Amino acid sequence: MSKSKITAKRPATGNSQFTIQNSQYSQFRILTRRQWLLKLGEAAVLLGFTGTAPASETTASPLAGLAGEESAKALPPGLYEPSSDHLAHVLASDSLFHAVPPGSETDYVRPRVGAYQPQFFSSSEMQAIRRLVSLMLGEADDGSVAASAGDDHENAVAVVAEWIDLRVASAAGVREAARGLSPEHRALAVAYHGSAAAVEELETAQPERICREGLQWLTEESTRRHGKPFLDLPDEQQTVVLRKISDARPPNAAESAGTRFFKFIKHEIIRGFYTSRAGLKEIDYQGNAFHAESPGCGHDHPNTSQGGSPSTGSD
Amino acid sequence: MSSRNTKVYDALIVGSGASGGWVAKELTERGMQVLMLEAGPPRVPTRDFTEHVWPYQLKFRGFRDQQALLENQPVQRLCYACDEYSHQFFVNDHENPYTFPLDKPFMWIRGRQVGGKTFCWARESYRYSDYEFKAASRDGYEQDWPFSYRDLEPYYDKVENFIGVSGSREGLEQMPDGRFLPPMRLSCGSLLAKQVIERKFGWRVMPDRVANLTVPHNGRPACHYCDECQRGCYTASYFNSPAVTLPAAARTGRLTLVSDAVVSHLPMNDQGKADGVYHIERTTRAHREARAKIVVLAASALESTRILLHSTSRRFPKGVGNSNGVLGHYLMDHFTLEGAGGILPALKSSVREPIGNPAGFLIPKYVNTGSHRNKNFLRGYRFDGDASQSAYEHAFGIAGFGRDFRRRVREEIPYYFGITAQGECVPRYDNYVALDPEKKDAWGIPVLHIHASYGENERAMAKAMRQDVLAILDAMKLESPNPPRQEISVFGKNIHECGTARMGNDPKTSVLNGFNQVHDVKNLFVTDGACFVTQGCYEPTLTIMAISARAADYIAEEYRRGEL
Repeated sequence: MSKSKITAKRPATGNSQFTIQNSQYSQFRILTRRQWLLKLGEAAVLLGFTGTAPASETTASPLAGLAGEESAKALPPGLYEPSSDHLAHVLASDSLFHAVPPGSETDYVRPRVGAYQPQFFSSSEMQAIRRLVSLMLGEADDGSVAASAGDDHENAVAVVAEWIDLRVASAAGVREAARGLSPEHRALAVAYHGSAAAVEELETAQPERICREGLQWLTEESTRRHGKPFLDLPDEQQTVVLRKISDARPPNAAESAGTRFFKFIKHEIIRGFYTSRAGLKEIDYQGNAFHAESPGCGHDHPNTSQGGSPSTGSD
Repeated sequence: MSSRNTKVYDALIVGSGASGGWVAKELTERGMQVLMLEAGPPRVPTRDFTEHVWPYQLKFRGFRDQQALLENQPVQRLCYACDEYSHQFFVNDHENPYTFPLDKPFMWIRGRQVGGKTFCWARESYRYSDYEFKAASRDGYEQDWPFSYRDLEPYYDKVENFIGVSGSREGLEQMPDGRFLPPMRLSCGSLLAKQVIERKFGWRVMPDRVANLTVPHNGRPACHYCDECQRGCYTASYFNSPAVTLPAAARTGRLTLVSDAVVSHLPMNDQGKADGVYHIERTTRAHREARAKIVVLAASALESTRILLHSTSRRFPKGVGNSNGVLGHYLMDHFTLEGAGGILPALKSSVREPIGNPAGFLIPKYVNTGSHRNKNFLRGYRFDGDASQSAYEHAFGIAGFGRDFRRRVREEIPYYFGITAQGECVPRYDNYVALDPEKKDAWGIPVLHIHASYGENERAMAKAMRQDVLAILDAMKLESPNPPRQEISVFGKNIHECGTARMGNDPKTSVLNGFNQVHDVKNLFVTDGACFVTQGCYEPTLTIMAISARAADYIAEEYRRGEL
């Protein structure tokens, strides 16, 4: 594998700044998922899907050495070789829904037929949650898009609101399971965390209450200040109400059912949004990628060296 | 009730992980007929691997199904890798219980499947040196191993050559260089750490040595750096036994692999030799017996010891190999000091840096090496660190909401630096496992009672570790630095449990001889981490594999000569 693409040039003069410049990234050979798969396909074609490939350390393809299906078939259950069987699997994983393999123990999201049925919130509460998500993400909420079977369109606001509903609906079961830990398992968890706080949180957290009281606060505050329930207010007034409980409010502002609600819902919006396809794209998430080479630093940092001590590399 | 498989194999191996895979490969390649029994089911990559799954494709978006984990895996869930993507690689704790005193919690992380824990291991691969093998000669504490580094060196070479280990040559006496594929590149933050720490303290900072392929190797493609190794690997670009050692054994045509076979105990014959094993079918609970001329236990340190303890007879009333009362004792697991880190202010950026190395940096042990002797504790510790940009974790600390909030999350990317210290746990007789007098597992087999805690040496070492971590945090000039947490890790947490059937030259103070052969029983071997005498401060798996290959060499030769 060629090293030349990522070997940084040493600067002529010392400069101790560790700054990152955009242009320097072009020297990395980052393959997109599709490019990588093309390479995988090439390798499979080259091998003609037969037997073992010659092991070569000079082949550029990241999948050089790919073994075909035939030799894999000869192996007992549980053993495997890097196989072109996986090509389709990896390709499928790029879509919004993952194909659910028969017998899988993984809880994949499945395409839904029809509108989302909230598990915890009432339909009017769910409307308010969706509205809050759209305000906090700064997104227009048309409220009409629901992913249906085969639909690869992701409505980030709907997805995040549904995540919050699932999170709250699951809370009672989590509490009960945590309280059901045996004394030994509880003692182990406390020792693992170094304190009882994490276990107590599992045993007692009540996001249901935080949300119900928070939504009530929202209704009361909207009615008191603007004479109408939250959902009936125009955008600007909704934003004004939200600012009162935001974590950007003055530091000495009092805690209330509203501020507790904001804190919870913001936390879950962050988790829900930045794990959505739109959120990951927005932060230019670099993980779950395919790289041709080790993606380390390729900058010109002075006085540094990637490798081991050159004076001791004897063999 | 029990049905007898009449075929008598040359050798029977219990366990299909790192150790069993090597023994199977070596014995079958030497012409022996081998039966391998694995307690768990086979895994199917297209069904069970999840390394390219996105969080939005999972019901709980990668944040774990807490209720299911609390209910089914109340112990396993504490392992970082037992999450919504990878919980299938870990056991059900109700089927596989164990006990411990309430004031001495022990965390036992287990993977029962074809491949054992090699699907999820962290792949760090460092050779031990005579600082470990001859530690007692150096500081007078406990025992030396019954061999030296020179004896094991050819097997380290053999294992590294076959599985592929990436790393840099560092020329360190206390952590020998090996047969390396090119090292991974350090990240910007790790390079900065290397620059600062090497200059200020003189400690070596180097890329982790990991069993990931940086170039194609022995028919397996190079790593593609998706950095989710613990979810399985379609391309088999890191070592696991189902794609590396076991296929080599299977291709000889001399390996019979039986999964879902939970071994209960060993039937012993009139000559005091092991006749084979009793096992129970995992799903049907049917009792079975298998026969072989040689039995090799490679079921993981504590499970192998459980099988020995449970194999009682008139000749071996306290369990096979336990005539001296040493079996079950000298349990070890590394302890760590965690949670230290902070933000590297110089590397804040609005641009994403490529990520994906399944490895960070290592600072090898420096205390009690060369002429240096620490007066407060024996042995030593090392550091693991890494530095990378925050994905979105910094969003929790950015106030406000709306478009501006999202812009700040996108553009104000902090660069985190984190460091963990890992120390050697010295072997003590007091740290032991025994059969629980009452509790049984789902197959009616008595479970282990585990009695382990860290002692004075570990606590004294933890103080020094803490001081050094704080000095590093200070030297790195971090923003919002976090000191390491006060408590050292819970016993078992680092999943490097070793010992309980240690090797030694003296049959009065050890269970196995220098070739992993049970002193009391000529045709019985234990090749996994149970055999360890000490464990240094480095990960045990590479050494387990080298020892297994060496033991297999001995077994094949002795068998050929009719000595077993």
